[in-house]
Amino acid sequence: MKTKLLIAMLAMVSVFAVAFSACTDDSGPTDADLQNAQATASAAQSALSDANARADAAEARADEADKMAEDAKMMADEAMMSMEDTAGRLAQVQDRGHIICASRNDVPGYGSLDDAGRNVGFDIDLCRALATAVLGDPEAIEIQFITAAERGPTIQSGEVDMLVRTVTWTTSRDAQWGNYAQTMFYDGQGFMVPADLGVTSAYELGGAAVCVTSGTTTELNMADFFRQNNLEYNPNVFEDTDVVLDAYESGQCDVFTNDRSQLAALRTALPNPDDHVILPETISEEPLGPVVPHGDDQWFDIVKTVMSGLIYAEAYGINSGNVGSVAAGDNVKAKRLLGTEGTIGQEALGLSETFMQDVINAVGNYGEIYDRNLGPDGIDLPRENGRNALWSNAPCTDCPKGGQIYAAPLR
Amino acid sequence: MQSILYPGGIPLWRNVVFIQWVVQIISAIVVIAIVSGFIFNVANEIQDREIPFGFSFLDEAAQIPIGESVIQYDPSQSYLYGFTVAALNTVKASVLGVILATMLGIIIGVSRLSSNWLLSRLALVYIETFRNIPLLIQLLFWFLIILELPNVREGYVFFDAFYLNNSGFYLPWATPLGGFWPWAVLTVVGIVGAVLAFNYLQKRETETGQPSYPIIAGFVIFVVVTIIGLIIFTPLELVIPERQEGPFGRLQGGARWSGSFFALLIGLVVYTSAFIAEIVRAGIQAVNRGQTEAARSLGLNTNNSLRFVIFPQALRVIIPPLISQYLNLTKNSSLAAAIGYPDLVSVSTTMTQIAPAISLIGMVMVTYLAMSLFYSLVGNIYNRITRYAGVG
Amino acid sequence: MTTSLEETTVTNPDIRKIPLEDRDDIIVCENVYKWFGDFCAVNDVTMSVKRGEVVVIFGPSGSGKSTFIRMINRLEEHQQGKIVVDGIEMTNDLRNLDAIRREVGMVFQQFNLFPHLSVMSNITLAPQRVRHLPKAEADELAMSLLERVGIPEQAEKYPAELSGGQQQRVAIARALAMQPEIMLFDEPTSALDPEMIKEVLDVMRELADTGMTMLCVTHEMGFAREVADRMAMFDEGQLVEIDTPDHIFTNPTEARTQLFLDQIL
Repeated sequence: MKTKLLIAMLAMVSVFAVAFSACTDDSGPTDADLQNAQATASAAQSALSDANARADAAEARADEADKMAEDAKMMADEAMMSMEDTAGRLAQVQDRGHIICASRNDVPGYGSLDDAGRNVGFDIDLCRALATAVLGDPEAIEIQFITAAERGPTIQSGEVDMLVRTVTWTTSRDAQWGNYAQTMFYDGQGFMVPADLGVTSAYELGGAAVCVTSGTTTELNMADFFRQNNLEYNPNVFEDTDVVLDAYESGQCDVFTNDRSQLAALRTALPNPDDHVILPETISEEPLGPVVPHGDDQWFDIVKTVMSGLIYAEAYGINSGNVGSVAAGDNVKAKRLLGTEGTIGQEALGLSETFMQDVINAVGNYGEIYDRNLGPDGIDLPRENGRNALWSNAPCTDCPKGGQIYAAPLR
Repeated sequence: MQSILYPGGIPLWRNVVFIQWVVQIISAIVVIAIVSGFIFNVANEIQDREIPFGFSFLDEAAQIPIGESVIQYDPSQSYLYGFTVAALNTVKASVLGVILATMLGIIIGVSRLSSNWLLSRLALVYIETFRNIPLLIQLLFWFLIILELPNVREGYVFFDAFYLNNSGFYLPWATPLGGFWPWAVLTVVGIVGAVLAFNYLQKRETETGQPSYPIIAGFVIFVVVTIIGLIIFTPLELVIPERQEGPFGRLQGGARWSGSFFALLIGLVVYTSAFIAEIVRAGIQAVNRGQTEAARSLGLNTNNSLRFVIFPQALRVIIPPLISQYLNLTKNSSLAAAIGYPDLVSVSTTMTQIAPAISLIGMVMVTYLAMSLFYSLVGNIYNRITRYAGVG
Repeated sequence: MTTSLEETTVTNPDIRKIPLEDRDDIIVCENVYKWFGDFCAVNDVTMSVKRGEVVVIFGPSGSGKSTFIRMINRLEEHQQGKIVVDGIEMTNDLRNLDAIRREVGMVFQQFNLFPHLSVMSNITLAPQRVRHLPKAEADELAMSLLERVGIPEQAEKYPAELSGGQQQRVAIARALAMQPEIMLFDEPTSALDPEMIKEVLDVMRELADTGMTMLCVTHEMGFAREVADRMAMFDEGQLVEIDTPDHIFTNPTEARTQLFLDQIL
C-alpha cells in the first residue's frame, strides 16, 4: 500500500515537472547530464533509505520501553485515585454547599436563561434534581457555561461535579471523558416542515426539496433515509446553517433536517414558530445524558440512582402533585422509591431515606421535566410516538409509552 | 593531475561553464532530496496514522445526491462519475461567468472613459461598489434576493410550460432519443457548411463590393440542414416540466436552472466585471494618445477608432490581467457551497465523509489546476497570434 | 481600372498658376483665442490661407504653432473667435466637424502609424470605413499612393519594420488616401535622422506642386524658402508676421522675426 502511494505521488510530481518544464525554455545541462544527476541522486536516496530503516528499528525498541513506562505510570495513578476515593465527591459537595454543573446557556429548551436571568432547561433541571437529592435544595447549583470543545477537558479535570451539556454518549467518550450515568434524551436527526403542507410523517416526504448543512453526517443520514425508503427528493446543500434557515423559511426547500433538538431550538428563532412542525421520526442515534468524572464510584451511583428515580417516578405514576398521597398509598414499588417502605440503597449512597420525595417535589418526574422544557410550553418536541416516551411496558397508565426511556430498576 | 584541474588552461574553480554545471547538479540534488523527503514523510504519516488513501473508491457507488447537474446523475453511479458531474457544474458556472463578465466588463470599462459625465460616474460607482465588497457577501445578497421570489407552489407560470420561482427557472428541454447521434453529426456537417459558405461569400463581398449576404446565407444553410435532420431522425423529445402530485408540488421534467445557480452567476459576473472594467480602462488608456489623434484626423468616428485602432492595441495590455481574472472567477466559484450550488468543492466536501479525504482533495486540486492551465494556454496562444511582426 | 496620380488628389496643379490674391480663401481664422487654464496659448490670431497655398509656420518653441494648427481639424478646441474651413464654420455642430475633418488631413511629428496593421491596412482603413470604398479600390488607391511616396515595396510590412523616413512617408500616404483638400503638417521631420529628412521633404515638395493646400509647422528653413508661398512667424501665441519667404528672410518687418531668424540661421 505504501509503495502504491509512493508511486502515485512520484507520478503526480513528475507529471507536474514535465508540464512545467514544457513551458520553460531549454538552457542548461542536456538530458544525458540530467540523467547522470538523477542517478547520483537516487544512489544518495537509497543510502538514505537504508539509514532510515535502521533508525526505524531503533525507534521501535524505544517505543516499547516508553509503553512500559506509561503502563507503570497509569497503574500508579489509579492507585492514587482509589486512595482519593475515600475522600469522596459527596463529602466535597456537602462541604461546599452547592453542586457545580457544566452546561450551556445558548440553546432554548436544554440550557438557557429565562427573562429573569435564571438558569432553565432540561439539562439544568437534571442538575437541580441532583442538587435536591444531595443537598435538599434545587437552587444549590452553580452552572459553568462551556463550549463544545471544552466538554472533555472540563469533566476530565474533575473541576465540575457533573457535565450535562447535550453530550452524545459514545464508547470513546465513556472511556476518555468520564462515566455516563444514564441516557436521559434520545436525540437524533429529524425533519421540520411547514405545518400548512399537511405532512405528518417523514415517510410522506417523497418529492420534497430538502435543506441541509454540509460537511456532517446529517447529509449522509438524509441520503440514506430517502434511498432506503425509495423516496425521490431534491437536496439543497449549504455550508452555513443560517443560510439553510433562510432557504427553508422562504420556501425554496420544503424540509429542513438536523438533530431534533437543534430543530426545536432553531424553530424558536423563526418568525412564526407555530407554523412549523417537527416530524416524529428520528433517523439517527444520538443518546444524550449526564457525565460524571472517573474515579468516584459512589458519586457515579448517586447520579445513576437519581436519574433512574426520575424515570421510575413517572413509570409509577408519581408526580410533583401527588408525592404525599402515593407515599402513603398502596403501590409498593412506588413507596420503595419514595423511601416510605423498603430500601433502594439510600444508606450506602449517603442520601436521606426520602430524598426522592424531595426531588419529585422540587423538579417533578421525568415527564414533567420533559414537558416543562421540551413540551408544548417549551420548544415543542413531540414526545408521543417518539423515542423519548417511556418503554412499552411501563406500568403507568397516562404516560407516553412505546419509547426507549428505561433505566435500571431501583431496589 | 594538473591538466584535469586546468582544462583549456583555465582553473576549474573559475571556469564559468564548469561552475554552471556544478550549480545545476547540486540544485537538482537538493530539490530531489527535499521532494523525496517530503513524499516519504507524508507517506509515513499516512501509514502510521492510518489516514485513508487510495483511489479504489472511485468505482464504488457514491450514494450522494447532487442537486443539479448538466448530465444525468443518480446516487447509484460511481464516485468518479459524481466527481465529474460536480466538475461539470463548476465548469458550467465558470465558463458562463467568464463570458458574461467579459462582455459586461468591457461595456463598463468603455463607459468609464466616456465623455458623458453621467455614464462615466455611474460606471465609477459600479466599479467601486462591487470591487470592494467581499464576494461571499455579494453572493449571499443575490441569493437572498432570489429567495424573495415566491416559492414553487405559488410561483409564476408562463404558457403552462415555463415556471419562475425561488427554486429556479424551469423550462421545457429536449432529451435525446435514439436518433440523436446521427442528427448531431448531420447538424455539425450543416454548421461546417454554413461557415464555409459564410467565409466564401464574405470574401467575395469585400473583394468585388457586391453584396453577397454571407450572414443570411450561412444562417439559412444551418437552419435548413438542422430542420431536415429533425424531420428525418427523431433525435429529441421535448419534455415540459410538470407539477408533481402531493403536498410539495415540485416540478419534474424539462430543465431547471436553480436559484442558487443564478445567484452564483450574477454574483460572480457582477464582481468580476468590476475588475475587468478597470483592466479594460487601463488598457485603453495605455494606448498612445497620438493613435486616437491620428484616427480622428483620418475621419474615423469614436466607434470605428475604438474598434479598429485603440482596442486591438489595448488588448495586448488587457489580456494577461484578464486571464488572471478568469482564473480568479473559476476559483471563486468554489464559494458556491455557501449558497447551495453543488459545485466541485461542495460535492467533494460531502464525499470526504466517506471517501479518503486526501485523495479527493488531490483530485480537486488537479481539476482546478487543469482549468486554470486551460485559460493560460488560451492566453498564450492569443499572445503569440497577435505579436506584431518585428515587435517583441 | 487604374487610378492616375492626379486623380488620387482632389486638387489640381493648375491652381498654382492663378496668382494668390485671385484665389478664394480655404481657411479663415478671425480673432482666435485658446487658453489652457490661465495660460494663453493662442492669442488673438487672425489669418487666412488661400486655396492651393503653402504656408510655413515657424517660431520659437512654446509659441503656439502646434496648438494653432491642431485647431484647424479640431484636435484642439478654440475658445474664442471664428474658424471657417472651406466654407464650413467650425462650431459644436457634429455634422460640421465631421465634414471639416474629412477635408483636412494631418501628418504628425511622431508618425502615429497603427502598429498592429500592415502598411497597406494603415492606408486603406479610413477609406474603407469612412468612405466605404470597396476593398479592391482601396488597395489600388493605397498602392498608387505608396508609389507616389516612393515605397511601394513596403506594402505588406509592419510599421515597426520601417525606418523613420519610410514611416513618415506612409503617414503622408495614409492622410492622402482620404483625399483631403488641406494637409496639415506638425513638425513632420523633427523626429527623423538627418539623412531621412530629405526623402520626406521631397514628398512634401511634390505634393505642393500638385496644388495641395498645405499648412506646415517646421524648422526646415530651406524647405520654407523653396516651397512656401508665405511664411507665418508665431511667438508667445501671437501671429507676429506673415509674408513671402523673400520678405521674411531678407527684410522682416518685426524685430522678433529677425531675432528668431538670427538664432536659427
